Amino acid sequence: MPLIASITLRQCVVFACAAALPLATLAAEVKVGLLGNLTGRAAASFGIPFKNGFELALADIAKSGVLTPTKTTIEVQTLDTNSEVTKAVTAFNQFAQQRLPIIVSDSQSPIGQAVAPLANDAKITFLSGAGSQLENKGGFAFRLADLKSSASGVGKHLIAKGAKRIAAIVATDNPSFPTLAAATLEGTGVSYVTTQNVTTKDTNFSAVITNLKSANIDALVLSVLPEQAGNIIQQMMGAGMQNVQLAGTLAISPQTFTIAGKAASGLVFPQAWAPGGGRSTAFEAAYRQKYNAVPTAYSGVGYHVAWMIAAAALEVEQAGKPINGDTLRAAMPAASTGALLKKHGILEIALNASGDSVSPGTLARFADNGDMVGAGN
Amino acid sequence: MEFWAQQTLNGLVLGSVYGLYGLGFGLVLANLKIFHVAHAAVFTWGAVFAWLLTARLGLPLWLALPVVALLSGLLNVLAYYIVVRHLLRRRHTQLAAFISSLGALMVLNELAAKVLGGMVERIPREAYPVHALHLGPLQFNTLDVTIVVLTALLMLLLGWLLHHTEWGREARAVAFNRDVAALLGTHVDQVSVGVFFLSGALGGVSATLVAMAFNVISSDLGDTYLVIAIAAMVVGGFGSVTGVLLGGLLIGLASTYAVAYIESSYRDLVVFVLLLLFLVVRPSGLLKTSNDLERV
Repeated sequence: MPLIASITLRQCVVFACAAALPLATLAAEVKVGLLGNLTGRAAASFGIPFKNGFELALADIAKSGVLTPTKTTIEVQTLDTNSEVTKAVTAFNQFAQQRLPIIVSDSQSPIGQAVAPLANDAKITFLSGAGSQLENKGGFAFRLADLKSSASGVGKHLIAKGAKRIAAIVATDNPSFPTLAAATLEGTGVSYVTTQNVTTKDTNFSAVITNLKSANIDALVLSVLPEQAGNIIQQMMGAGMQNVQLAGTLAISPQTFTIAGKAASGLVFPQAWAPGGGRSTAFEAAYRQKYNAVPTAYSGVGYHVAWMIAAAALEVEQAGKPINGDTLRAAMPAASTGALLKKHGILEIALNASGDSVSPGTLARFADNGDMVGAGN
Repeated sequence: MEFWAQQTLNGLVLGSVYGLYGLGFGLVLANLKIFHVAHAAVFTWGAVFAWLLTARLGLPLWLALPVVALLSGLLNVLAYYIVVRHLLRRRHTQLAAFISSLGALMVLNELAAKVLGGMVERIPREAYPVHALHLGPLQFNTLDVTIVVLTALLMLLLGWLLHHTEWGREARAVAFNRDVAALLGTHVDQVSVGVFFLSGALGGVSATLVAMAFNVISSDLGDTYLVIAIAAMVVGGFGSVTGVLLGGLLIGLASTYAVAYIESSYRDLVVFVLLLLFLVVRPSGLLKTSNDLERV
């Protein structure tokens, strides 16, 4: 009896001391799981630029000291999905076993759609670069890509340039692409004269291009993977279709220009972000210096998302709550439009509680040297 | 009419590549009666060799192509020695060789993925500048012409090799009956090595043409076209050199017409319906093989 009493007394002393400690002396570590498409078809266009931007942001966050008052640190663990759904789900499960509170996926609607229900079940906040609607019963999944706001600008641009017979090539096995294609002409009163459906694995477009020629089109919307867009443009030039106005979607990346070369220099496409100074000057310079490459839209999104996570973590910590999937989920919408993002972020992504985003984006094109510039430049 | 003619031209170009790939596969099947699925990996490696030679070493395509053929042939010979040869005297040779070849496919695909760094690469445009051509209303380009002419030349060369050389006579004898051919003094092992070399070389060349035409080199390139190659063999006739080419052309036309007149998502369905039709109605394929003349 005396032993039990002394143990109980000792425990009370320990608890009392712990309770007396100010919150600021306790450090919080936010472990972020990154499902990176670092190899495979999505690597060059999406996965690698996103990861580069994300890591650059983590370095900037540490340097800026914004998390110092709460002694919060952000640590990222990256697993390569090989641009495959099965590997992404396996990677998610590994992160879930480690009880990570937040997981990020750079792109690929099929991956987002596979992981989102799992994230909701495991109560892990999930930020996905997917364009398609995600199953989101618990509200834990957030979709970073706003397909509609920026896509409609492309349709208006084509019509303003005199396009009368607009066609589309759509990779229908990725649910984002039909959505993007439809959003491009939404509200314009114009519909496609022909829509050629392909798959994301297609590489030979000779038959499709012949179909387009016979439809006598003067503009074409490419709602396909960026490498496919490059291939199509190249094959179109070989088929004598140089005078067709070309437009793309949010999926377009520098890979398109790498394949098609100068034939892609007239291509207009919406982007969440494009290089061109303003509030992203420092980011562009730092990115070029570190990676010896021009940042792409996905680099910008990766950078901005890291800051978004920092902002959400800071809000949770300042509210005196523990950092977990639930608290980060609740904090994310406000964090996405808060003061920290306005100061350190480089684009506009407003998340809402239902998991959707509003992001006006910008209209971009390829310059003759392949750099992405604003379409007005 | 113009639309149909253009799509037919598209289909013939596509079918030429299918035929060439199917031919390499069919050579081994006819000679050794084994389903050498690792041929798909040899095909992939043909494209990888082409990429290394053009993008890394800066060789033009016309110089790289014979080297690709040589390297792919040697790779397939290596596969024969490691994966197939030791199984030829076992019971259930065909099943054992199939499983062994499947293992080799996985290993070679993973190695290709490592070499490519997990990325999708392409042969640089400068390796073979392509120029647009037209014949009346028909549009095509210099690469299309190269594909068709090269396929035709290789077919003629193969036909000459099989029907007008001593080696060809021995190859046909081994295909007919390996044991009897051995008893009659044919070096069956050497013949098989030669068949594997030829098969690999054809696979490498067709992979290079695919990589050029479709701008893609990935570690699963051969897997994508393997089923098409099998379909070309079935439609054309197992063991018939001319038949496999005709089968490839027919498959190329069918898939192109499916895209032209229906839509792309029906392409594979149409090809497989055609395959099933032939299996049910004419399982011997377009060209029947007479036992001692046509079979490789």
